[in-house]
Amino acid sequence: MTISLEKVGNTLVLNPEGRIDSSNSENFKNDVFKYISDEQSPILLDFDKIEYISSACLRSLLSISKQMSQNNKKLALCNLNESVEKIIKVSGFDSILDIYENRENALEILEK
Amino acid sequence: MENSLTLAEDIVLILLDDSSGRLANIDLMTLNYSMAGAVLMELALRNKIDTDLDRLVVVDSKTIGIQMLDHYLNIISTEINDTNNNTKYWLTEFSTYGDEILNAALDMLVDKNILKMEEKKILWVFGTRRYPMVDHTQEKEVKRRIVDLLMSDEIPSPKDVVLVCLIDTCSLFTTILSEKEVQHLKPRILKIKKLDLIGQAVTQVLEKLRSDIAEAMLMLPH
Repeated sequence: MTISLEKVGNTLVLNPEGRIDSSNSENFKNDVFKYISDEQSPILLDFDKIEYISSACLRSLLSISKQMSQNNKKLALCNLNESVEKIIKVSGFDSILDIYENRENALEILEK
Repeated sequence: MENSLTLAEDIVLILLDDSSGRLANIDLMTLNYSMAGAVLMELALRNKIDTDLDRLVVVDSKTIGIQMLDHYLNIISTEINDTNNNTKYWLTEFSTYGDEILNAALDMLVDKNILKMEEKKILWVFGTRRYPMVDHTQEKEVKRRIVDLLMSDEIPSPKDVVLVCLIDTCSLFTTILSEKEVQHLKPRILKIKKLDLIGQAVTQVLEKLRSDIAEAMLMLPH
């Protein structure tokens, strides 16, 4: 799993790739923490290239959103594939995360 | 991990009545599945097993150094195969060891000087055991954290999610909140509880078992 970064407007977009499960969820979380630690911008996790997530990834997302919320920062997810969207919805994570169908929709809200 | 106790120990502290040192009166089936759930959730929090909507996999079979957890991790690691690699199977399997898990948690709490064990004889024959609390720090900390979480819009930590699941499954919220508060906070409890897939499986298995039992009772001749 790798993460590339880009700045779009005022938003920091993180583009993870591959699978996020217990073999790399800690790295995923720590990498995201590292990128967002000094960042005041909103963060968008673009999951366009994420094929699969397990419950370990859900726990990392929970910790990331907790950290973002404590620091009053905006966080959103976009471009979930069908299986990722299913696990996010079944586990109720759509009630604590802002999820958008695509990057344009997400950026429109985050940039406001 | 946020404290040094395992989930099974945290739940046992909430299950114990402070004054009598005895366990709260909950049905055996719920207790057994909750203990089984506590073990699986702990192994997941420690990145030893992983789950998704269909499967449970062992990702790291190396020992943790806590005998009770290592024992159950070893069972899954050696017995898992293509026919039993799902959460509900292991919940059911480990529920048969519910009393062992409970006793192991009680023993660990005694070893840590949080509880002490007292044996008494009733009518000089039947032995009864109670576990008065010696150190209330951990119990108070867990209860305070959970109450603060429920009373706010705070995003829970992964460990708090599984604690909420287990406390609700055992119907123990009334031991830390009033009935009225529990009713008022029920939507928040259910929302947090949903965030853990193993917690969801515990609820689903128990609901199915209760419905099967109710159905079977209806079939009994009057």
